[in-house]
Amino acid sequence: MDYYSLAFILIAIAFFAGLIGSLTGLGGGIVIVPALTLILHIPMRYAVATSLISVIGTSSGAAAAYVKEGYTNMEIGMFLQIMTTLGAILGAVVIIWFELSVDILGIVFGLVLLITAVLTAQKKSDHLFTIDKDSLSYKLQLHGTYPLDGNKVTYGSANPITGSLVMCIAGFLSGLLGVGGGVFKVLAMDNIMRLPFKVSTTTSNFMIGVTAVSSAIIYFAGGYVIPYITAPVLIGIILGSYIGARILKHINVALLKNIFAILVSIIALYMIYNGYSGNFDTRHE
Amino acid sequence: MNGKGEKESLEYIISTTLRLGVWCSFWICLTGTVLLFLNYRDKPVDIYHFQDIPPKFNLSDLWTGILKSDAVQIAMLGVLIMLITPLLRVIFALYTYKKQGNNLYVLITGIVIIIISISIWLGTIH
Repeated sequence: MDYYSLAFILIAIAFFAGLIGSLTGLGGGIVIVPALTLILHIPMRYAVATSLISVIGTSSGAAAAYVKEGYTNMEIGMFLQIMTTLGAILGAVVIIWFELSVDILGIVFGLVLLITAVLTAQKKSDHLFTIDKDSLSYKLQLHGTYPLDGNKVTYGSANPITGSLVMCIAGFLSGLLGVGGGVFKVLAMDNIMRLPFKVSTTTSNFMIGVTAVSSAIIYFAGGYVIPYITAPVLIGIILGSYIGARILKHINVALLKNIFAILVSIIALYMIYNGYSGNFDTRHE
Repeated sequence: MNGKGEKESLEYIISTTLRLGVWCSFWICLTGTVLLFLNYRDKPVDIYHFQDIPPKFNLSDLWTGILKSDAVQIAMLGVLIMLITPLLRVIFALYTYKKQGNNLYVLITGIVIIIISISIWLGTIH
């Protein structure tokens, strides 16, 4: 394959990942890794490293808008980042230092995709947890306000320790698989910490960049970031997510999420099949 | 400046940093990729072995490469800017919490910076 073809395919894949990621709120990592490994046969660790950098791109782009609009809770994000960054470093160390089999990695990736598909298709209920001034959450300043119909809605939070532990798992999966882990972060903030859904999704997005950086640095220093692969992916994913954010209001997002959940499930089963059959090892190692 | 004003100022600084970082990285990556197009025009690319790529990142190679308009190093600079962008926002947050006198979040942000520093150290020792 010549570089023209490779770069155009990479930009096209990343553009699609960025577009779908920003429309569904899932980021692009869950598309990038399967596409790079299964379509272009790029070795898994290089694909994970590329995906992590692209995840930083989509997360930073979207976070810039959400922070400005006042939805993101930076204190909650910063507090939970302690555990997500620790988990992400652990994930990168496991895949690079302990040379985890890429077949196992493929199977784990497939399983995580399946969970993501199920969680994406589920209907979310919103809730508002009132501030309890005696709680640990209050002492940790894990409360705030967000804009709604021209007013400011005040909210509190619950279970910061349990939430942090789930965040550590989300970070671990991010470092291990090159995904943002947003679905698991939202799960922790929405279901465990009882944060409003809009605050959960925007704060999760805000955290994804720093979480991804803490493991991406290890891949970067280890020589797994290849500029002539990563640069076209970054170009495509930034453009895709930028355009996705602009056409969001004209799209039936609920329908798109269900279609995407089915697509992700098919990719997941294909990843599991390839991992189980040992296809990743024989092709890439 | 009051607490609310400082919070809004932090939100503005962080939002601007993220936006600038992303677009700066985008344009530099685009420049690098266009130069890569020209350099690798007719050459087949072996994605199994990644020829012509230095095995590990080196700051002096990056600097020398940029001065020579080396396509790979320019693309690498774009990637590096993307990596640095979220780190900058953590550092700006630390500065703003310090200015606000919010010692709890100075401590929490400091812990996050220490953890990221550990990842840099782990990357360099392996």
